[in-house]
Amino acid sequence: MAETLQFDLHPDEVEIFTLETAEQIQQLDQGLLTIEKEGHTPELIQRIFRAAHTLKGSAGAIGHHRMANLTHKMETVLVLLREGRLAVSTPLVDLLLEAVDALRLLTQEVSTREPSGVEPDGLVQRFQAYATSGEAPSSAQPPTAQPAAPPAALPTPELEKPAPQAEAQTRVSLQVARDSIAPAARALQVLLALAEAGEVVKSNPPRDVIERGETVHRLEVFVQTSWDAARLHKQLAHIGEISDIQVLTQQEQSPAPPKEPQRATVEPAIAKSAAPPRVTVDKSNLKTVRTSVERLDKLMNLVGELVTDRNRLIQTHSSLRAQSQDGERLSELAQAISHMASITDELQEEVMRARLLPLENVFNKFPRMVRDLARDFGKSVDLQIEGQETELDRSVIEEIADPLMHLLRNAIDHGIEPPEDRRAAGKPETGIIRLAGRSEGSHIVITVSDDGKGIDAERVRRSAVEKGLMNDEAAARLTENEVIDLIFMAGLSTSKKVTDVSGRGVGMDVVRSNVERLRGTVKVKTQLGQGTTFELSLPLTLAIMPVLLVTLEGGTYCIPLATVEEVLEIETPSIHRVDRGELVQWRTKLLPLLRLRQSFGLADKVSQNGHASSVVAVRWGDEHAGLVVDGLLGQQEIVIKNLGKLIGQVAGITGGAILGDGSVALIIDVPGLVKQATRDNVERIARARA
Amino acid sequence: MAKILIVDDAQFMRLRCARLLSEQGYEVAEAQNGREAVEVYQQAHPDAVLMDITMPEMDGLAALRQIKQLDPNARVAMLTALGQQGIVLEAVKAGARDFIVKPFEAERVLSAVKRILG
Repeated sequence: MAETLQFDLHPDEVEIFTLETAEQIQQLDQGLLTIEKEGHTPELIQRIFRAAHTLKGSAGAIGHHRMANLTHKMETVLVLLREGRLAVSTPLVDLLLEAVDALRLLTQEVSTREPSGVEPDGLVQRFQAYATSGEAPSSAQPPTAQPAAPPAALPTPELEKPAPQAEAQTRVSLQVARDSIAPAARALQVLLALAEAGEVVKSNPPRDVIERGETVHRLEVFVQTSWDAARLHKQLAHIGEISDIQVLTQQEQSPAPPKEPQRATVEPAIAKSAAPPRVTVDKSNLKTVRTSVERLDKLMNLVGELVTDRNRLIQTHSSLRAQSQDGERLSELAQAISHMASITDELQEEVMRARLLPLENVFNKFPRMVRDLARDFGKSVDLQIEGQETELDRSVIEEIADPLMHLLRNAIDHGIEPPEDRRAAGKPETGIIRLAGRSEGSHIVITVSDDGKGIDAERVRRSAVEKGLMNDEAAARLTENEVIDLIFMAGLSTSKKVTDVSGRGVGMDVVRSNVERLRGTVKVKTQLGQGTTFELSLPLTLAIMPVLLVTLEGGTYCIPLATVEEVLEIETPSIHRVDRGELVQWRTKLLPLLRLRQSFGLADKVSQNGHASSVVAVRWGDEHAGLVVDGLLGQQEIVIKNLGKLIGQVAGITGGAILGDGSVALIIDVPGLVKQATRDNVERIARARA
Repeated sequence: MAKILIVDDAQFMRLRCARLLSEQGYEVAEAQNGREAVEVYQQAHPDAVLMDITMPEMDGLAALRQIKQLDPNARVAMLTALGQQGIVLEAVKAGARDFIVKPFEAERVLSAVKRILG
């Protein structure tokens, strides 16, 4: 892995730094191109200067020295251009543009933390050549060029007017910091402050010299004042970068010259020559516009309406085709619909993309957290982050921080072994936790893997029995994978500690239900002694959902496809009745049935064909249930509508959608129903098994 | 606690300063150019102002002058970069209490704020 760069900025400052520097670089770019095309104006040069200046400030603030050096030199040259001391020429504009490309790569380093390979020394040197040719001796100096002014001589003060008798004449002398960028301004501050105390009779250097901006390192002021030394000291205390303040109420011999603090020059030497960097940058990703989240939500809603209308058109067309003979016109209609449909798809895709944020936004906070936790647990951990540029809907991004935090904490606490155990096992003392994001079609996949001790299936199996989650026999029947999956069950957690990572205790069961609420899935793979990998798969967006449409009493209902495990036709005789509940054998287990007619208070009726029932096997967390419906209509993508205040909270329903034929369909609350079904059936299952 | 107005056209720099100051318990207001600074000054009556110099719309020096006209006791410190001695000098003449050089060191900003609130 390449060396990691360190910058002095907080993870959540990265985004704004990146956005803003990208804007300023864009301004530089555009401004320079305009100059090239249309010639320059003072306003244009000022605008470019301002962008370079702001970039310099930001670069300096985070300690990005190469970027600060480069922008500093650009700024110097732009000042010369602005003041007409340097002519605008094609080679110079080319050089500036080359520097802009280098800046793009340099700013990217801040988010990637990987060296871009840009060494601006070559560019800096070429700018310096321009600066030297344009700089008159009195021009704005770069700090290295700031001459160390000879200490001001201290001639015997010649009083310009006789001192009034009532007030003593006080001599104040002080030192202005050598590294002050505006020593004259400090000196002027002193003069102004002392003027409040009385009358400044004379100063050395004199005020007019100071006001011209001459470098002042040592200042001597004679002031006619009634204030005592303490009060004068206090008066000067608010001025920065001055030291060695001496106040003498009587004229005495001048104090010994104080030692001046020496500071290294701010700018590194620029003598090193280097080839100009090779720069290739995708400009398109920097042309950004900021827009409000509300606007994006509105756009998404509108697109949702459009999707609904498209579905409706398709449906209308197919019913027309069933009735009509006018094939030609119908196929024309079909073409128009299919064209509109593909544009709608694309539009939907684009709007959805506009809502995406890079995973970086949530990944950023983990390095620090992992470092701190590792120390708390006495582990040595190297967190490796990959794919942080992978994008995800902002609403999903907000929701995955907690589950990821928990997985990382688990990896540190239970996965990575203490250094001595690792050494004994022949592993490097430092454990590796990898947090990686990648996109896979309409989903993104986030993995959290560690090279720790892995999950001991036998221990989990024993624990499940000990905690009464199942009997010995049932536990013994489970395959190793099924056992590992038990870690997602509520009440299994082998750790007794309550985590304070997210401020509340969460177990793996909560991780799974959080992820599934986002219509994602979580899988675990582990190998004893080698490590564990959790894989989260999440949909790119939450606004549009693929569902299975089912019918009940003539109405249409949607079951989120992510929860559907299998669709079954169950023969009535194979349904076991236990107490008032019903169960069917499904895969290796007994599936509790839930008759949605009953759940929704619809007329109870034997299934349509009398002998078989349509059952949708759904899963939530580690529980399954079979939803008994009247019929199946097929799959569709729906745009979710909140029912909101219109109907309030209805048990078993989470929302609504408008279907292609304009009718409304209700979305079934699978988590709620599954919980209800399992609650009702826990004892029945136990009895059935026994 | 004292209220500080941060004036800088770079959002990043405002964010930085605001974070630093609010961590120390200061109340923070922000403006992104000189014109806005004058407006915010009148509404918020901050105890001190940290004023960038190079800004679009109205630069820091002009804003300083207007603020000093509105409130001769205004406590303003200029945020300056290398190469701006001349402007800083003008600013001090116009009544700036202090100046802080970019890139900021947290300590310098805080001690400057303490000094001008003095």
